[in-house]
Amino acid sequence: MSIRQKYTDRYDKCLVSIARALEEHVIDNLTNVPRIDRVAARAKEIDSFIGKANKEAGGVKKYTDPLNQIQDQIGVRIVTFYLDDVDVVSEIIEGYYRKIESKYLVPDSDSEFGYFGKHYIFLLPDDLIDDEYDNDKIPNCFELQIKTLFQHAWGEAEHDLGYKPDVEMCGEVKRKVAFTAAQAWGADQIFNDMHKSANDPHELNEK
Amino acid sequence: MKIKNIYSYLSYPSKHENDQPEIGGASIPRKGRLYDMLRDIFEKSSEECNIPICFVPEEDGTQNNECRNEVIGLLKSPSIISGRKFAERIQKVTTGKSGMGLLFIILAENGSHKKIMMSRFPADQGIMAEQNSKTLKVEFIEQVFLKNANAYKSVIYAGVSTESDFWVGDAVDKQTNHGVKDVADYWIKDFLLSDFKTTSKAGTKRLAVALRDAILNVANLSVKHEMTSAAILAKNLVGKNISINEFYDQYHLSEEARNAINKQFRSARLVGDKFRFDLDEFSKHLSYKTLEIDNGAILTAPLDKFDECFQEGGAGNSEVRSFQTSGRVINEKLKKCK
Repeated sequence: MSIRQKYTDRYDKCLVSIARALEEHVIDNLTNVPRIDRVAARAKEIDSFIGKANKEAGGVKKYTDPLNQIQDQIGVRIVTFYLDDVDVVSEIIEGYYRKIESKYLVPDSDSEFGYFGKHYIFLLPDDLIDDEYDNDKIPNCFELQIKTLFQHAWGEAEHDLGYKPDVEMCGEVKRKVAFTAAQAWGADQIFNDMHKSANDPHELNEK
Repeated sequence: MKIKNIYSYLSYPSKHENDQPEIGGASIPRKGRLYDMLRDIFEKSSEECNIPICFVPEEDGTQNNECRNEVIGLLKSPSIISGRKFAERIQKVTTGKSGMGLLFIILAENGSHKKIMMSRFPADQGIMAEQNSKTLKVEFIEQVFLKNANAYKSVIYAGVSTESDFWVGDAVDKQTNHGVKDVADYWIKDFLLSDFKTTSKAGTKRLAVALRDAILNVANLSVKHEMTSAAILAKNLVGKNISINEFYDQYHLSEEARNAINKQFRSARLVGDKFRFDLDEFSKHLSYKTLEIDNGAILTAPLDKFDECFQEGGAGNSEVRSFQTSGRVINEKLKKCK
């Protein structure tokens, strides 16, 4: 059986239904948490998985055992309104899922603008796994991203345009991409400040 | 699974000591009575090790754990030297209370599937008696390691990929007579740099929601009452490590009540899963108790104060009950449904 066949089998039999159950599970754990725009879970598309499985670094395949090594076969994205909401949601999510990795992705240098977002790898909770599933077809973890609306919007557009970190862009395009990232970053800062001001009793009294 | 290697190490209690005693170690041959005993423990390990645990990542969030790295190192190149790291690790976290111990490490594989089991046997004292033709020689010995079903701690890790598997394992402490907290702290937290696979909030919510839904769905009033009583008493579990099975035993729930709760889970495995009980989380899901009376009345009060709010009195007929309450009216509501 090829990797594609194995992944397709896993995708059809387990991943899609586990992703659906996981989405409900995350939504339930965020009940009554304000300013969440959306929670969406997905099983990694078959072509996308194969593309990742075949990736190379320095002429050598990055994954020797992609079915066991690729950790975002199931992914969840939570989109919040404002920057401060990311921390609130992170704390709640960390309470319910056992993490094996957490990182806040930012551009390499403080003077650059690009991708921002909080990424986790969590263990898949046993609550979602039916006894009849074949354990060999179930990944032991999933990826969860928490982003603001602007981080999400920028990431989606950049992904759609196909700008990949390993492809060299010309200076003009680089500047445009950085410009849009800077605008998204700036919008996040300003909306977050405005939200804080609007809810600060001292500032409200002064208005 | 075929056992490939067995290593053994004697470790001393040396927590907080700068000078750690040297540890030798031995490779155990795959034949003889000792091998038979260890194989027996290994074969039962999947059933006996029933506490799912998980390695804790670095504080900065990096997907890395020193103890897991040592597990991977041992799986990749098994030797007395790579196994010794675990003996040194356990020695550094062992106090006089746990005392001297004999650590066995068993490595097995079946095709690409690998499994590792680590078991610690505590040292005991004993008397050796040797009968000659006319005399009996009796001697006191200090370093005895008993093959006692209730005298060892164990953990197993199984998987295929050394890159991404082996983050979760299953542990057990057959030695403990004093609750699971000690296992969690000494064997799981300190030695294995791990924690329960299920977080406090997740485990507590799983129990609370299952109880709530079971109470709602079960028809038998006395079974409903059993479960609500257990929910009220659950406040005594604050901070304790418990499984749903242990919750059943602690509050002597009937078979019918257990079955009603078990029906709420996708998998039967979940009732054996351990977690630290979190009262705040429990109260979030089970905060009010409601009694519906056949005259149309509905009595509702906070779960832990229901009996204080409503004093129950008999009314002659055993099925008919009367309730009394008193207090100032602070609000009045109309609702379209119950």
